[in-house]
Amino acid sequence: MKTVLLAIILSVISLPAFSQAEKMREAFYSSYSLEKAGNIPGAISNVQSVYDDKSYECNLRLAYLKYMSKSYDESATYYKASIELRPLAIEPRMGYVLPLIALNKWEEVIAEYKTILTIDSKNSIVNYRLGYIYYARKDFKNAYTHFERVVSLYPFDYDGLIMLAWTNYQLGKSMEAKQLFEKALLYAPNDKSAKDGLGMIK
Amino acid sequence: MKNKIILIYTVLVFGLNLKAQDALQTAFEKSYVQEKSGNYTGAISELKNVYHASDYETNLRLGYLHYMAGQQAESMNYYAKAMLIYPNAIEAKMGYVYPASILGKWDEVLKQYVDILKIDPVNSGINYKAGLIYYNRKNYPTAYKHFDMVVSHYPFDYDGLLMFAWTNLQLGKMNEAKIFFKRVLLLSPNDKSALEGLNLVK
Repeated sequence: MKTVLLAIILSVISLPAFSQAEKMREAFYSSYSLEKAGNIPGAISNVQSVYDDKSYECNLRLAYLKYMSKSYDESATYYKASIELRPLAIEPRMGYVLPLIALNKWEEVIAEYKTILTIDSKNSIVNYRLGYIYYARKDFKNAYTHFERVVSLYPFDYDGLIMLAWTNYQLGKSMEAKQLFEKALLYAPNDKSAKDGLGMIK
Repeated sequence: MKNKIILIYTVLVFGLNLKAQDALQTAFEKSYVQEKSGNYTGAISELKNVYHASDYETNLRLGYLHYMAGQQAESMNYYAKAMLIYPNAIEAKMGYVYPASILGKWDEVLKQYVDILKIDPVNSGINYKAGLIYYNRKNYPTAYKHFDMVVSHYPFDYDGLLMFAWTNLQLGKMNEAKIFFKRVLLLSPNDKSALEGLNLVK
């Protein structure tokens, strides 16, 4: 008798939680199908119908879908909510920069990349992107720091090599630039950018 | 007179370096052409003509070409040389594990992963692969550490979540396993492995 009672209590307690998880699963499932069919507003509605502001997954998916529908402010808001739920996660921060870039909020993009590097200092994608932003701003010293980090981990990677070569060139380090342009040419023998760089040094 | 000798010497050394660099570039270019046509042995020969043991790029490329040619022991040798030249580079270590795994040298593969994680502890690809090896060896506590690292940085990543769920199950952490299997189902609603895992947990 006691066992039966306990079973009833447990099933009553777990029922709402179970059905909420099931509902969410079904909503995500439909959302993927609608996204696949190109119906982004429908994909958003499905997730919104089970939205829980404490759910990292809901916020992350909505952020992505809002980005896909070009609602960048809303996308950023959902990504931010995901970041608050998991401050040490890199995933939502990598997503967050996408709407920020679309909104031209480059200072915030830089801040986000810097935060990622405090979590994962060797992240080569983020080091490369941050280096690229600094290079475009003609802040060659900071660009150097980040490209150098990429090349030290991946010494024969074209993207890192070519940007470190140009950064050295901009800093007046012609010998280093030459060596790096030559390495870039080993990777891509007819590379125009590397040849241009070498032509400017010779 | 002394200045003249220094000048002649400098021009000579510079000229020789230039010639060596040109020969290296030509050899790399020819090796890419051979590789494109599927002739890995030819691609290897081109590079061996200009081979210097102290050259990172040539060792790395020879490591890759020997791997593609099915000569795994030689591939490992060249990758090992590249690793010695740049001990802090991840690139060469990531190459080394390919021939090592084909030869079934899993302890060496694992050693490389551990070494990479000393350089880049947050590297999620390597944490995942190391976790997978420990899981297959039924060393679940160590597998847990690596998968936990993946999931803490990428909380909604299918591969990390699924393996973390199974590792929790193997460690008898049924509630945690259930939570993670359910998260997998949000990403992949009919996922066979996650459904199997959930059945075992219930």
